[in-house]
Amino acid sequence: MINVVLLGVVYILMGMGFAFILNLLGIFNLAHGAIFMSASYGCYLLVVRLGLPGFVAFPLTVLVAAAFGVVVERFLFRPMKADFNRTMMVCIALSTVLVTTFNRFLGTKVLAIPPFIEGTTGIGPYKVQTDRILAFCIGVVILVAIILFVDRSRWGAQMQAVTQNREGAALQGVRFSRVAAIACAVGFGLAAIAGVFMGSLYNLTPFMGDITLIKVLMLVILAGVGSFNGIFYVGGLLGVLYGALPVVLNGAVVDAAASIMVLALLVIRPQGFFGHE
Amino acid sequence: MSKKRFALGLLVLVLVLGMVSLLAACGSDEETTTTAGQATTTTAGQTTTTAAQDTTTVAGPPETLKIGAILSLTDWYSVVDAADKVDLEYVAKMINDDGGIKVQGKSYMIELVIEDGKSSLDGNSAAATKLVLDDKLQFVIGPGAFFNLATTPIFEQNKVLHVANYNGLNPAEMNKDTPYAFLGLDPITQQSAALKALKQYYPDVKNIVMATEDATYPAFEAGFKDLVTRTGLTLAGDPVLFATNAEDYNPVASKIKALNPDAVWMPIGIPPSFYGIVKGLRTLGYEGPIAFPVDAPTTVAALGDSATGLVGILSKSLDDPNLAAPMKRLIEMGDPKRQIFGLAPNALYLLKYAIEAADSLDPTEVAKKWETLTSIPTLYGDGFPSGNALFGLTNHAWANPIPVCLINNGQIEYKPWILPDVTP
Amino acid sequence: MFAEIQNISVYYNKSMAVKDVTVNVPEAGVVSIIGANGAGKSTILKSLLGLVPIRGGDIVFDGESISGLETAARVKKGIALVPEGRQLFPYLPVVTNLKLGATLRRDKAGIAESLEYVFQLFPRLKERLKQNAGTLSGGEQQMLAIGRGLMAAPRLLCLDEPSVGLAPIVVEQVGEVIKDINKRGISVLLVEQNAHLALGVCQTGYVLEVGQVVFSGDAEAIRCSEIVRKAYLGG
Repeated sequence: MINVVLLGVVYILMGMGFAFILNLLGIFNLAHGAIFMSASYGCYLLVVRLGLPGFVAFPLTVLVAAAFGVVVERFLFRPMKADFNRTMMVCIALSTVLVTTFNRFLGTKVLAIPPFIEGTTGIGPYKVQTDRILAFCIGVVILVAIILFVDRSRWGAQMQAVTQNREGAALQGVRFSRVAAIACAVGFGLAAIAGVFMGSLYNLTPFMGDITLIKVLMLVILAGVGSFNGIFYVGGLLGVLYGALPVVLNGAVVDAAASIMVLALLVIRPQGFFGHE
Repeated sequence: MSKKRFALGLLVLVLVLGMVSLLAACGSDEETTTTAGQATTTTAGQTTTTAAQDTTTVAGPPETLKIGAILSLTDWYSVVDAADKVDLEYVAKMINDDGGIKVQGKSYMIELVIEDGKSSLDGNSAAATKLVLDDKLQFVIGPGAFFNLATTPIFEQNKVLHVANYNGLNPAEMNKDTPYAFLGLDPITQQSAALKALKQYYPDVKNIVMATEDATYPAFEAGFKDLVTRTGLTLAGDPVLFATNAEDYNPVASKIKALNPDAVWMPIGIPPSFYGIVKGLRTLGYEGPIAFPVDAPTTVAALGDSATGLVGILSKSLDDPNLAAPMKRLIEMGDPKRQIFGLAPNALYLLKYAIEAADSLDPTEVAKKWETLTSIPTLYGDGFPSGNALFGLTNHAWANPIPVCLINNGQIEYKPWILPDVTP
Repeated sequence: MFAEIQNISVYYNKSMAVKDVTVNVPEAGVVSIIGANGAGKSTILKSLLGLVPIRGGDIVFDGESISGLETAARVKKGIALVPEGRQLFPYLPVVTNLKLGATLRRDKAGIAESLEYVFQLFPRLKERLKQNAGTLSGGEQQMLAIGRGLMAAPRLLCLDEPSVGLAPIVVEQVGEVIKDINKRGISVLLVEQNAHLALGVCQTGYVLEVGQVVFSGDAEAIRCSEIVRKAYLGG
């Protein structure tokens, strides 16, 4: 049960990050999975190679990823001026470079980030690993923080304004470049958080990003472009789907079955569940 | 304007850097080919200049023999093959250091030509075509797994002797009409060792669950089920199949646990799947033994607390007192902590022996001679043929002793190697 | 002059939108630009805010050239535009729309004061504070757009076709609002097809045809001019 919930949280974190960049910059960030994977490896290197404690390595990884987001926005996304073909190429290139780099230097072994906390905790009759509970709590806190950020903060309002009407926002004095940089920082940061969770709870491989990216694309489209609430509900749904389907189905059939369900849902509601248009 | 140009310049720089790192990654095979070549020419040069006057048993400077190899160095299967490539090169060096392959009084230094099979059938078929038609090679190592489906027809049509690292038991990969196809390791014997070890160290185990990768399962189904019966075990429920690209293996684990078996046996998969399932099972409180192919140190590092009650096969470590001499030498050639799959390198080791036994560089001659051999030294000790009836070929598929270890509470205990049962 | 648009030309790709246009707005004055659809009226306002680049000419505000500044900097200097089609944020509540108008302001007391003034002008908005902007009626949306513009505490408020799609009685209200705003010392630059509204509130006016000023003068002079009477005031 906690697995389903955790997977849901990972999907939601990834989906939110992806949606931030998509909504604000109009960029389908295909490198999102690679960022997720890189952060996971980055945290692994900090913990295992440099011997940093988890509570230092985790925020450090996220901060580095966020800073990287700002750099990517400034030097890769901005010069492309949101041209669909060009940004697509940039994202694919970025993704390939990251995946190849990690595959080349660390890829031959399957790695895992050591758990931040050892041991198990009893919840009623069930025993659950403490690090999972911790991850779940951190995930929920971060999600709540993000919601508050989007809904309550000045920057959040500006981001929504840009999403809903870019020229209208410019006329209020919203500086697009600054909002875009923040969106990329938050987006990459969220991907990093999801990556570290994944790396500490499951295993690391250089291709983990590709697998998750596909689910995130599903999630964002199903939630409806432009909707943050939708990502919550659909992220949870996908978590349940991928958590529960393998119990009744075998192997790769799971992916096919989940895809068919997504497809069916899209036929019923082409605009996604919570999309604006 | 200047700002824009600066940004553009930076972008170009980043792209170039990206390309370079890509090339470094993809092109490293070519790199190693050349270094191997250089190594041979320099040693040749030295022998001619410094030892030219000495009377040598081998006449003339050594020549080179180009041997192809197909490994998937990119994409999902690179988890196995990128590591295997390192050891393949070491074994080539090992053979060269010992004077190369000796045929009719001449020494031939091995020069490997490695192609990337890209973890796909298309990629493997392109690689095979290049090795056969462009490079005109007559001996090829690889590929591994079910990728032989794509390459076998190309090799057979051109009468190229090919030694698969390991295959998917699909009849199209190897059958009575493929006289040039050889197999370094019969995958069923490897699993025979896992089950024998399970029975030996956990005598109470009767009922087991087979959990394996779904794509290759249909080909292995009959062989594996037969193996379970031959070993004197029974299957608890239907096999549990999983996809190698899943993120979360906990559902698979809970499905296994629901069958309540005495032990779990995972014959085919890749390390991420194995580790995910073991973690899941231990988290759920399942305490029975779990048998699967491992690299013991990596497994312990990746699994942490969950690394207990494991029966591991195929782990190669200097800590293992039962290590066969050639394998020990191979491990010592590089970082002893690296993960060694030892598939392609073993195939090369077998090929070298067969070429020398035939005393010929003609693949047809070598294949004929190979069919008469009943024992070949391998990296793992003395190898023996297996699966003659299964493949419809005599002495084409080979087996060897299998390393076994037990892992409990994060501690690795190496056990005597197990001689697997011969596959009919 | 307070705001001077001096001989500017604007091209979209290669087609000319506005050519050699000069418009001056005096301090605390109301100036209107009237002209038919596609005459280039909106383009002038967009170039004033830096949304489209000008080719030739200059824009001077409060004695300084602002042609090189980005939009946000111009807003900060005190120019606000209530754009054509309102450009509200439809999925944000009224209150957030208004607050976004004050994006560049930091003086809390001043912002509260502006908000108070907006509510005084448009009591309806106060009733619908939590409602999403997209759910308002056309007239309410126009009020919100103007209110949002006022939240920037502008010294020059530009209005682009505020009367479009509104009932005559609402158009009349808009006229009253403009007068009220002007009374508080804010200059207004009004772009309108509805010449009755425009000439009813302005002191000076410009008539634009195919991207060029064809007539300018004080409101009375324009009202009497032959061209305007025929084209815009129904003979």
